[in-house]
Amino acid sequence: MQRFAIGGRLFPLVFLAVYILVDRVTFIHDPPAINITPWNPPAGLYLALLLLKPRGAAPLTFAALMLGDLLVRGSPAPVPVLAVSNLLIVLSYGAGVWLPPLRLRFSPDLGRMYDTVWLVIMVPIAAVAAALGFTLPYMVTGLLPWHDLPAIAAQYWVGDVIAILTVTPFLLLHVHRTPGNGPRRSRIETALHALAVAAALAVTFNPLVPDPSKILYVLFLPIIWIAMRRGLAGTTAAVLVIQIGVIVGLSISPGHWRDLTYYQTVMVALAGTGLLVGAVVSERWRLEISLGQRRAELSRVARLSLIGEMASSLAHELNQPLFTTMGYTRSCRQLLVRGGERDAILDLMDRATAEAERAAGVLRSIRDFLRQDGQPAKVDLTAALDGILVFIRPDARRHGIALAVDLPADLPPLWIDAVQLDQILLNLLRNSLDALANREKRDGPDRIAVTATLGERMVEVSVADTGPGVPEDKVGPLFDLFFTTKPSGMGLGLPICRSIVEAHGGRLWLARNGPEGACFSFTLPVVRDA
Amino acid sequence: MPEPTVFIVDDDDAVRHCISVMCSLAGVPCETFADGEAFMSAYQPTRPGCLVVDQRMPGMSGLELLEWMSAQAQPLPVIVITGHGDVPIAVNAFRSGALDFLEKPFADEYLLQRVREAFDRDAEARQRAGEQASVFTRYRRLSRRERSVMDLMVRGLANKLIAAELNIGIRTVESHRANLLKKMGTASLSELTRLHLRLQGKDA
Repeated sequence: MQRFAIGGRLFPLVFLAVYILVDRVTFIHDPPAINITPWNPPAGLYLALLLLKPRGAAPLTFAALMLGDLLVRGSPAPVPVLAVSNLLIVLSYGAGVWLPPLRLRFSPDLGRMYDTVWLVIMVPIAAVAAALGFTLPYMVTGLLPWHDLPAIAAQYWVGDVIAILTVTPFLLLHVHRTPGNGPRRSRIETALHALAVAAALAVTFNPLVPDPSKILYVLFLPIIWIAMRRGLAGTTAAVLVIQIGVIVGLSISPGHWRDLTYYQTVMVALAGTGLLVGAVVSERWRLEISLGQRRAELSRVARLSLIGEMASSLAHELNQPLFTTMGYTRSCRQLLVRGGERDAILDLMDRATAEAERAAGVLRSIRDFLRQDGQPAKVDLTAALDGILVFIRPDARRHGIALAVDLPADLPPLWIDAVQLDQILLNLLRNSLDALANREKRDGPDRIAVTATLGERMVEVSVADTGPGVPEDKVGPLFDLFFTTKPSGMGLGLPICRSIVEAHGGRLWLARNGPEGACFSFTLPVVRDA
Repeated sequence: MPEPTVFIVDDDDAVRHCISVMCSLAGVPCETFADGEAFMSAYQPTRPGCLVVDQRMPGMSGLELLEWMSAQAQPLPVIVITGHGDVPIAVNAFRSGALDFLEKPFADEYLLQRVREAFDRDAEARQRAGEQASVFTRYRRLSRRERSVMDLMVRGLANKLIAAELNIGIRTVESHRANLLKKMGTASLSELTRLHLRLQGKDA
């Protein structure tokens, strides 16, 4: 769909043209005495405009209403009555947008559940005012009898509410903003969703069903399914398609036009339900994402502060012996220059050496601390992987990355410390995930595959991704301490993994690398029952 | 007056010994203590010198010892040394009156230079304190009337005005004036003003 910058110079003309076109196409039924349609999509157009551009949209909306009445609908009313009616419509809908106490914290990007709830509540209320505002001038001027007021106003209300609930959220999400934050769905699933909508419409409107109104509830099923899978953005599209489907269905099954208002009432319920469920689902995704970001931020901060603390006490522990080594050496020199006693000089030299050894000891104990040997035990690889995938899956889903796990069913247990195995798996999976999530162009399905092959005494586990691979010049230092290709990485992951694997008598290496992806493999000993 | 001494407080045996070697090679007398409490019990206010204290120690920290020292009547200048310094600790040290804040490893010449500066500072402070004490002793020998006359003199009042202020004869003022100048051991008004300031604890 073409995007027009709202507020651009040509926008008013384009808006009017689209408005008249939509009005012409959808103004289709035996009209009552005045130009009211029980399906009024133009209302959805101008409400979207009012929501997106609260100031400045009113004159354009008024112009569109007047043009529509004069060019398309051929109203019987004189122009002054029309003008008053249309002015009241603009004021009714405008009130919800312009008056701060009514607008509250509504944001037209429908980014939060609150926004959708506001829309679903506000539209029917504003539509009451608009319906009365539009019809009353006819009664007051005597063009229509007063006893027609409730029926005509009700028809107007239903027409506007259903049009706005189907068209406006769709426009807000798809024309103006990029749609939703939900996970990507496969083409097959999209096709199934379309099929479900088509099937529900076909079940409702077919020659075998004498009265479609009796099984209209079938239409709720695809809406709820789509809302659950695609969130608000997908729901708005589905609701719009079903609404159009109902109009088309009614126009090809003769004899039901008079019940249009009844159908529309059911559709109002359907649209409201769908939008609310979709909003709940989108809200959940939004929270999942912000929770994930918060968690990542927290663990980064924790890591950095741990490093800072370690560095501080390391500096303290090393500076003491460095200071004394330097001090003793300088003192030795002074004594030698002065021709001091041999024994005193020897004593100072011994002390200097002892202090240098003390510094070496500090470094050794830190290395031992970092290379804490775990407690090896029998560990089930499948169970360990399942535990790790719990952490990986939300991010993978968000980036539309498929996770494939293919482990032999008869895999014997591994002999390793369970926490260290987690550390290896988490590191390799996270690396693959980052490689896939951060790359620019996507030209195929993103996938991370974990496989294992059983050997005589060892099992070889591979983590392969379809990412861009490791750049040629980065392969060499890949396992070096503090070497990293990530903006916030520390360059500890792969070296630690390798030293863990090697401590268990295994190997960790880059098994395959190229533009079609990287694959890391490692081996670990298995426990064979004697 | 006894010779100024460096008092070293550090929990690390090697650091303590190393600094004492540096000092003895430079001919500076020094005494070492393994913790703040040991120094406090050996502390004698009359011994001049300076205190070199490690910031991080088990038990009493260097900063705590520094605060204790600042509260003494005749505090020694304090140099704080540390294995790993950060800005907040340094700021705290200076705020508590440390003369300097050194991070290990530092060169022995630098430490010795700072120690000598500290000695000079301590000597000046002690001299000033001694002067103040002697001025105070002299001031205490003045009679009440002489003190009143002195206060008015240093405010710049002429004998006539002093006589009017205290409601006494001008001759009496002149005799008080001669007596108090003698007792304070000075002949000039400007010197008397300086001593008066010293009495109030201000430098002149």
